[in-house]
Amino acid sequence: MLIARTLFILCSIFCLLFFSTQVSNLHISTDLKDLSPDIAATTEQQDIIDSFSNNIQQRFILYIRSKNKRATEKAALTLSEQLNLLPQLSVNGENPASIKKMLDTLKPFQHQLLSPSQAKSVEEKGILQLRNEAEKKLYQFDSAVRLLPFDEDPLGYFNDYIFSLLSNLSNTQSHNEAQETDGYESTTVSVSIKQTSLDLKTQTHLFNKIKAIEEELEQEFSVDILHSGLFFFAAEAAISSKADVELISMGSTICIIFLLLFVFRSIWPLLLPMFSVTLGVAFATALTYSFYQSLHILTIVFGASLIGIVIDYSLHFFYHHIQHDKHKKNHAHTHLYKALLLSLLTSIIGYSALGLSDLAALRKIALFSGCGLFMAWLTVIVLGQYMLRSNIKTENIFLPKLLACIHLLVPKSKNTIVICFTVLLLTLVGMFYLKGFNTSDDPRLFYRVSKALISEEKTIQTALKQYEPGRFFIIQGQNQDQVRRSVDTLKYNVHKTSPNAQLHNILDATPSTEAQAYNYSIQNKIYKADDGVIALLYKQLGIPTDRAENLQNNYLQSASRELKPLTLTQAIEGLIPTWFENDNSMSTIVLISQGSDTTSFPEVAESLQNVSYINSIDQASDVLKQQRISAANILLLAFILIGILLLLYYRTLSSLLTLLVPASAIIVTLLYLLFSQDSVTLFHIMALFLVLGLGMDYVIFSKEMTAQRETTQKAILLSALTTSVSFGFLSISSIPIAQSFGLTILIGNTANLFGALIYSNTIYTFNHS
Amino acid sequence: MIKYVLYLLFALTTYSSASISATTRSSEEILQSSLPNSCNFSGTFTQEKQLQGLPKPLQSSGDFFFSCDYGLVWQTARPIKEIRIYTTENIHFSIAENQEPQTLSGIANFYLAKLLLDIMSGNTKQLYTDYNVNINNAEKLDITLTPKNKYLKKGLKSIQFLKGLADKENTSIKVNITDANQQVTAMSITENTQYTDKKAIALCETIYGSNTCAILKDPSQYEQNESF
Repeated sequence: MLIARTLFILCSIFCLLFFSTQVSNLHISTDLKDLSPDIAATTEQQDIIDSFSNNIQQRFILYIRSKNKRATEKAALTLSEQLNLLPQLSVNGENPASIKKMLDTLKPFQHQLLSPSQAKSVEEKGILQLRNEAEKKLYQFDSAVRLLPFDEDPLGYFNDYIFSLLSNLSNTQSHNEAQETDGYESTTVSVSIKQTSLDLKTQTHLFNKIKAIEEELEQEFSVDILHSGLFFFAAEAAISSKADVELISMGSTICIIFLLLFVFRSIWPLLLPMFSVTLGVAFATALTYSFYQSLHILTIVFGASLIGIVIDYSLHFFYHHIQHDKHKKNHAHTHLYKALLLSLLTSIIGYSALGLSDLAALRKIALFSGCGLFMAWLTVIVLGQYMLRSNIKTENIFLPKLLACIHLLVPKSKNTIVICFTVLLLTLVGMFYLKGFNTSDDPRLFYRVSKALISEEKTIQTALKQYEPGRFFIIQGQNQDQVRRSVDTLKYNVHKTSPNAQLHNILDATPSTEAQAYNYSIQNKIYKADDGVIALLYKQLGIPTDRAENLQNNYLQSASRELKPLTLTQAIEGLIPTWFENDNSMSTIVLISQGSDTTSFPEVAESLQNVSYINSIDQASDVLKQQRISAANILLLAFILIGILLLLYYRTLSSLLTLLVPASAIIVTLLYLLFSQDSVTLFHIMALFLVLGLGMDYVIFSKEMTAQRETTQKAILLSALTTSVSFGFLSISSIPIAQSFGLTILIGNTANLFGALIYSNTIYTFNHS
Repeated sequence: MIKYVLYLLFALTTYSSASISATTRSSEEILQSSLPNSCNFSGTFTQEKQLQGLPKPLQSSGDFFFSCDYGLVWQTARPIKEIRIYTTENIHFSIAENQEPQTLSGIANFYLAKLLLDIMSGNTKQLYTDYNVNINNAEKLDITLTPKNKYLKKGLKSIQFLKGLADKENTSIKVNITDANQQVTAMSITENTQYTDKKAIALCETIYGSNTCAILKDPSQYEQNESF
């Protein structure tokens, strides 16, 4: 008890310290990546995929359309202006500072950058011819647009290069010109989110702001505004999760309070459950947050359903203290504490199984739930005795009657539990061979997304014809040249198998080291003192020669420069970063044009060194399938481990009968899934671990507290009711994973209740015979 | 009585509609009235470019031939000699003196060539598509265009049209192009002669030679693929 008290005080101090320092800036994460498993073969590749996905998550496209071209364009312009005013957003291509930044970054490399046609012209033509052409160009009407003043780029090569570069690079910036698509005049506004990760509050605030701007413009200009980007999916998921948290926590709390008031007829017994729930959730929040530096919204959704389990410890505690035989007080206490400890351990084993998952969200839930259960148990153990009052009485009509009704359904034979298990197992095997399980491992089904948003995403993807979502190549190498050679080989091989496929990469716009050195060297005749192209042109135009010398000096000083792909990526606002460097290696992502035939891509990548083909959805599905299968195997292993624990603890073979209760409950749940034709997902299997934990809870109490069979059965009934209330609310959640989790536990736990009562009767019959 | 009231109402409605249309022309109509309205014509131009760093503006002049079916031959005669051919198929060429035609590439060239073709053909619809049009002064036909294109707007600040500088017989238009560095190219384009469709190409050949006009008529035959 001393250890328990010390632990309780330490944990409480930790909670107090955490909430007094962190409560104002608690970061609630809504990152959808937590629901995606790692799919890459190596950590380095996974880092690249994560960095790439994070960048994609930080951008979105708004697609404006109407029947009226001018209304569309005006709406797009106003939308761009208003979005640019929001501090968290930047409209790509609309910021004058971004053009200056691009020119400032790329200008030092102007002598290294020539298009192939420019290089050919410089190489083949003589100085006089180049001078004449430069002079003619000055008079040409179509060279009237210049990014740099004449003095900084007299021949206009850099100017032409940058214009071509911008038009060749990916379509990442906003248009303000409407184009006709499917009978609509449409245009896009491409937006970047400045902050790397948005917490729930900022995300919701930003989402509402954008919606308000859109609604105003939709009314003013009679346009439709469609959305594309993970931001909107995450925001929608977060809003529905928030509503779920409110529904589950409020619903569970209110129902459980009413249930406890009904049973105990006093407010006093509510104190212990209230303390245990509050301290349990507080400790779980503090520890999970300290560990992960954020609290995921899904953790809170699942955490809200913990109330039903956490409260069990208080219920057993009260029931057994109120109704036990006063003469056997000490004996009963020992059994109760043993049962509470065993119950905690089995539940923690159940939740720990979630920690084995590759999904960050499940690992966070495992930690949160384990900590919550532990602290709630500790609270009951330490504070329980101070909450007892002699005048607390339990409801004596409804629960006993309900129990009697259930008993009518429960056979009382000694072998009932074995017979039930055998019949259920045979039914399951038979049904499995007849119907088979439907399974699903598609990560997209984990969260519910409105059909409207998916349809908008598809419309925009079709209209813009950008890149294949979630499909790309990763190419790694020791240096830039090696990566470039691999990219070229990949393009060659892809072209052979899929001629219409188009691949895009930052190296397309970055001349090779040799090409840059060559571009520099051939321009010597342009910058030569006295008789170079510029010197002659300046003489012709009457410009002082010292200005030509300045340009020559600039040229000489830039001899060793080389434009790197990373510099180019950083120079152009809105460009998707596809180049990654670390101390030992360089990597690039090769994007695939939408509509490309990708069927041969896995084989192409397989045949090449340093090239990996990533198909996020397929690979994530494969990983989740493996996890589902291994989780099912671990579930079997958990049964074996608990069996060994029981044998070691009770030293009798009959103790293994306890395992038949959760095993039967799991079979009942699987039969439900078979009959309902629901697809079995990883989350169903994970929920079965909890069914095992809860079933063991009930059966351990039945076994430990045989002397107070009636009291124990009432406590189990009340405990099962509170758990069912919590997971019942979870099963009506709008998030599919929470829904399947809740429903599985609701069905499994109801079966556990019946199983525990049958087991309790079996032991009773056995003891009395 | 009712009949008279109806007549009166009809007359008032007709009168008010007529006066509205007479006094308030749409911006598209104003733009249209500042542009050439014939299909085949030739003329002259003068151009003055003010570039930062140059001691004096670059002045040039020349002549042109336009056919709404084929495009524009734009010949700079002074101080340099060069022909630019901007075709309606959006394939453009330059022909230096005594040299082979070269296909023009580059997005800025492409958009400015398109602008010139749209001005010559009076294609207000396309101008409205590519630019935001602002009427500064309807009477003086002072109009400013700002580009919508995401690339062009990085380098081009505005295009200003001014009409009415030439005499009544000729149609002239002044175009001021201001780039992002405030460098201004001012052009004055004057339409001198209009032709019928049949005579147009024959006259083109007379002025610029059969080779030049053959490129105008069938540009894809002469296109060279220029890679970036």
